[in-house]
Amino acid sequence: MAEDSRLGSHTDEELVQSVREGDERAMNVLVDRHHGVVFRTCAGILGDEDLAADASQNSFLKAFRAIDRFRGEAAFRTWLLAIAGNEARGLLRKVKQRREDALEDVDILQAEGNDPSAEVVLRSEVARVRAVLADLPEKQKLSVTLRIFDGLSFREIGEIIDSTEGSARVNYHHGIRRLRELLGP
Amino acid sequence: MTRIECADVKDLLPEWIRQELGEDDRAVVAAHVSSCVSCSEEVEFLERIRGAAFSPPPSLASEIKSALAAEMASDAGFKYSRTTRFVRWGFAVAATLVLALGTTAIWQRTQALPEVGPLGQDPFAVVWPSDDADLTGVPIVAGVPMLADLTDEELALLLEELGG
Repeated sequence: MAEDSRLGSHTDEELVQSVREGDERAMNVLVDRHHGVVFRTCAGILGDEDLAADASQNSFLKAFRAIDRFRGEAAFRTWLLAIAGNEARGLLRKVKQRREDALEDVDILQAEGNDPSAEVVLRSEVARVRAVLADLPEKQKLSVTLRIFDGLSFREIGEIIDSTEGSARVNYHHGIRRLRELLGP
Repeated sequence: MTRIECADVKDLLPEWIRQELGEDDRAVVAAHVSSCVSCSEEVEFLERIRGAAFSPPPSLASEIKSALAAEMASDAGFKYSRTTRFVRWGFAVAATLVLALGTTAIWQRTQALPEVGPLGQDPFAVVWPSDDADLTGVPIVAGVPMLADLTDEELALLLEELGG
């Protein structure tokens, strides 16, 4: 435990080096440090917390399997979030395919939408904001959520959404404007 | 406040609501927001969006750690990176061995070559026979400077060879 708290003061790059040398505790510190932003990135793309948890776990597994290929051109968090974005998008494609393969199930879900208790949930402020966020184009959605939820810089967001810093800023402001239009003042 | 100043402040508002601004920026933004209706409304709106942030399940971090530990124990997934490292080492060792064996083979072949002559001398230099060499039965070659020792018959034969 004392070792873990000592590792807690290390930079990501130092921890990555320790992971390469087989230090499992360094791996755990990186999980503690970044699982929140990884989860929110996945949840933003998937719109589902259970799926986001699965995608988050897979993202960490894939990242550490490929840790030798991390060259440090970008920050570890940026690299990890790019993996998480790919993982979430891949899972979203599979889920959509499954839903198309089982249209009856979708009908059942739509029928459940008439449940008064579900309407209460949908009416709640949090659910409403999340629903509107979910409808934004992905680059706008990620620019808004990574900036507001996790305080990432436009430069880092640009690297994650495979765009420039300027493009990330534009996507953020367009997203905010769209949210204002849809949510009202 | 000009619109440009508002735009600059709005870029900083995510850090402002997360209380992550440095002391100087914090004072500037606080002064601006307190006197700018547009920016103070933006702060309220961003807080509203931030309230909808997804929170990871409390067990997520430990579940990820367990999955990583299981993978390390089974050596299934992380073996790749170690294997890669071993493969890289293997190639380096193999390349060194090939180089060493090749160099040795070339050296041995060089040692086995027939000696053409002492180093520093022309290997194609003509080596003249000594004066007391016994040339009985050796064919006469034109140009050999031993005419004084030849018999008349041999001289006649030599002249015939020279077309005389």
